[in-house]
Amino acid sequence: MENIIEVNGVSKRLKDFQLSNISFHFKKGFIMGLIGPNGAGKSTLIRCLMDLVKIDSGEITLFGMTHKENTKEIKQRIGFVYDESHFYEEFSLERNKRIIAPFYENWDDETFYTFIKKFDLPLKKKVKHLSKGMKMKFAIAVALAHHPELIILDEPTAGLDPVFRRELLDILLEIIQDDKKSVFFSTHITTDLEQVADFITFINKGKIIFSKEKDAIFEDYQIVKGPSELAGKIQGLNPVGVRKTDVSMEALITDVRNVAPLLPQGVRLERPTLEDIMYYTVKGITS
Amino acid sequence: MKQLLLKDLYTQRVFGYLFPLIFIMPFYVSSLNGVNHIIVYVTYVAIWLSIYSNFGTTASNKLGLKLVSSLPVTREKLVQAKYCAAFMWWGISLISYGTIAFLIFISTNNTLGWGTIVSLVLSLFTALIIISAFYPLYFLLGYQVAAGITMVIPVLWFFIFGFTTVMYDENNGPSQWELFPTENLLFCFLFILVSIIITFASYRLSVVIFSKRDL
Repeated sequence: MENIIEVNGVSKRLKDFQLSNISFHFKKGFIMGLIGPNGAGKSTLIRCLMDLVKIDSGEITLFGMTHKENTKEIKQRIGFVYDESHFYEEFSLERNKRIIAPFYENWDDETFYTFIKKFDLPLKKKVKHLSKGMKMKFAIAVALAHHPELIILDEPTAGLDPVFRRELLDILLEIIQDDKKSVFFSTHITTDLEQVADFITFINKGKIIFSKEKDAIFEDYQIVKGPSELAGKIQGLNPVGVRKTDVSMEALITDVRNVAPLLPQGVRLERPTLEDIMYYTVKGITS
Repeated sequence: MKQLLLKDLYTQRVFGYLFPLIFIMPFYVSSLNGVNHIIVYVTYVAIWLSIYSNFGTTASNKLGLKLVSSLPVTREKLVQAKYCAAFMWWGISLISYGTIAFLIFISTNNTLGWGTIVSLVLSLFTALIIISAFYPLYFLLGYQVAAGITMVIPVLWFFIFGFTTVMYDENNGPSQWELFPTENLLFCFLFILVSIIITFASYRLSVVIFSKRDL
């Protein structure tokens, strides 16, 4: 299947942060989640995808094109939702729409107003008077109104109430019912991704830890739990991370097929959550 | 391009459009004395509207540029639109002068002059020179610094011209405006040529600065 996003060896040095040799690809018709702790480089990577940040080296292709070749065509096919409101705060939603709509060849007023109605948004209200959730809903309505093939969302669920978060995830699932559409979104709320994502890309300190199908990730990782005396033996198996208390220990191991037979007796294995994987990868070995 | 120009029209603040109204009183007084300030007015208001259309703090400017840059438009087109908008603002400035002249005429029966075609053309190219100083600074340092530096240029220029005009008037000499050789077509041609060169160089510089900028 055709890759909608291809990132090859991308590096970008900023003042106090660096994206190093980032590579991954994303196929059409799926949802990919980008996870990582705060400051891991998620937003910078998304800004690179949108050509808002100029990469120092490597190559990014979207729909088989680079931004240098045809940024206009690429952006016509993307619906982009920022992590914070970028709209004109002093203007009403209607006026913001009137400014943005003419830029898109496929802008569909009917779709826009359907979402406005669905989200119960007050068109005449100024953006600055909306709650964070309402601003996010408006951003999603704008992003979807031109029927994009790829929807990129930067932390769309941050700061939203659980009801709207669930509603948003349902919308994303609805979008990919059309197999020509794909969704790429970053979040640090990993439970959201466990529900909807097909692929997960994990970034930490500006480096890709993995970019895989969600099911493959859960086959690769396991949580090992047992008494604290076994911590030394587990550490000998090169785990991703270990957490030890006076009475117990918990570790995240990878390469489960090869490592599981070497585990000492008295431990039990559990399926990790994405949060576990993120936590142990970031924290490493703690006691 | 059309969308970007419309965006600038839509996002211009009401204060930007209302600002020219402060000239009504001085114009009315001038009309009584038969003095014509069309060139000063049209040039200054065009510069004002062009610069003020980018009004904002460093943070809000960055958000605005980020929003527009994520839309289907190249950064080069975005910069191009800013320079093209200068013509639009100059046109609006001229229309607002006409409106003020009309209002003064219907309320007092005094008429304001319209200058000559050549002086109007020179006004347009003068505005372009000032705006050419603004945009590279705007894309590099943001609105506050760029506007601060740029708006001082016409203010100083008008102040110096105004002051020397008063001095010449006292000595019964020709005014500085009259010394501006608008009848000399070679001078006008050279002025327009220099203005085009400066504007083009400024445009290329703005494109280079903005194309490399991380948003």
